Amino acid sequence: MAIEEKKLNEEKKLKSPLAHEKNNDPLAEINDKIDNLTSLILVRQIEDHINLMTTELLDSNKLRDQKIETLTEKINNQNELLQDIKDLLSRNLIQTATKVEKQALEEISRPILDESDDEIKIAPLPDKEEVEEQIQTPVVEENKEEVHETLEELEPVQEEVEEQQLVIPDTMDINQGVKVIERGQVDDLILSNATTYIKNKGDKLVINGINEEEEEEDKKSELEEAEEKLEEQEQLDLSRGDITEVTEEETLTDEVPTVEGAQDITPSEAQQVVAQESIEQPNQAAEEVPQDIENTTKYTYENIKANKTFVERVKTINSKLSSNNEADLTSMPQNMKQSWDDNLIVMPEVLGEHLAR
Amino acid sequence: MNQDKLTITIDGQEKIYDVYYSFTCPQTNKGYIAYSEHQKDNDGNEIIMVSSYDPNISTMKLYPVTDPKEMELVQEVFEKIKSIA
Repeated sequence: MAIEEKKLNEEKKLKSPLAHEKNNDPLAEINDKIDNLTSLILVRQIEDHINLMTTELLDSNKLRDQKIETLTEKINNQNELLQDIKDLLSRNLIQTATKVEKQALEEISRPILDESDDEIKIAPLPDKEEVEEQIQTPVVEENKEEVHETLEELEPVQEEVEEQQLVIPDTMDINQGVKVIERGQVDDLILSNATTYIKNKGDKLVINGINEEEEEEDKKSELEEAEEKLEEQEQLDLSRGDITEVTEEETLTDEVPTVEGAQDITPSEAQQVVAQESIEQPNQAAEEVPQDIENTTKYTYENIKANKTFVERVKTINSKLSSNNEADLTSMPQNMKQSWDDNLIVMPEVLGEHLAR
Repeated sequence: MNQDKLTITIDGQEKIYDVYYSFTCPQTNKGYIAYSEHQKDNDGNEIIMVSSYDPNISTMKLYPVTDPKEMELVQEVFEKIKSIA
């Protein structure tokens, strides 16, 4: 509308001056015409420009619409994808939920299904009278009596234990009582309870080689056997009617000289008797258990120093023995003999030096 | 240490023991000493007592021989002396 009004106004302007100039001056008319033409050209240019602008606008609008369409399509696609994902997730959730639910249901239903008897059993209540009896039973009194009895039984045991405890410190003191002994200062050597300990423990060496308490027990048993035999002999003699005065001492000396005769015979004779037994012991042990000796690790020794009088005394004992020591060595296992022979090289030298001193 | 005598003071009383024999054992790294004060048991046998000591130190402590293997060793040496004598 505004463009059309402008056109009309311009046309009016062009007509009116021409009419005026026709009447007045031809040059003025020409100038008016030129003006009109230029104005027309300008108008046309403006129109063209406007047309271009409109086309451009339209094109841009078209492009914008196209972009919007593409974007909407994309958005729609994404929405569809999201929807699909949602659907999948919801399906999975449902499936897992159903699985869990099934498992839970199975677990819950198992014990119920396994039980043959669906009824819940309730333990019968105890009889009222029994309960009352139990409550009225003097449990404490009974226990008191039992405790009293056990205490009475324990009293003598406790006394024994106390007596033993009184003894133990004397023996235990041995371990604590090992004292320092200065080497080379014979007269200044200080207390050692090791001797007491060895005595108590029975770790004593008898000069003839018998150091076990078992030996004493054996001797006791032998003595008992000898006494029994003596009694039997007496009974036999009595039964025969041949009553002779047989002293117990004589009979025992005949039967078991190694035990009973120890006090009657001289010490050297006693040593001889027992030494013979001890010399035979290693031989027997070697014959009985040679494999054990071979398998066990054997300690070796060196720097043996022996007392002259002691060796002489042992020598005297050995001279009275009938058995030969060489036989003992040959009967030993090979490895034991080897170590024995090895040490034999050392010992005579040391011993010889000492004996010569 | 005198090889023949061993004086030990027990409760203020000196006791003199005769040292019968002594030796060392490389495996146990100990020395062993057998001694006696000529006491006799009920059977009239002389009691010989045995102790161990550390041969590597100048001051000597006597220890009781508690290991049966060590006791066997001492016994064996005694038997050896018997065989030599």
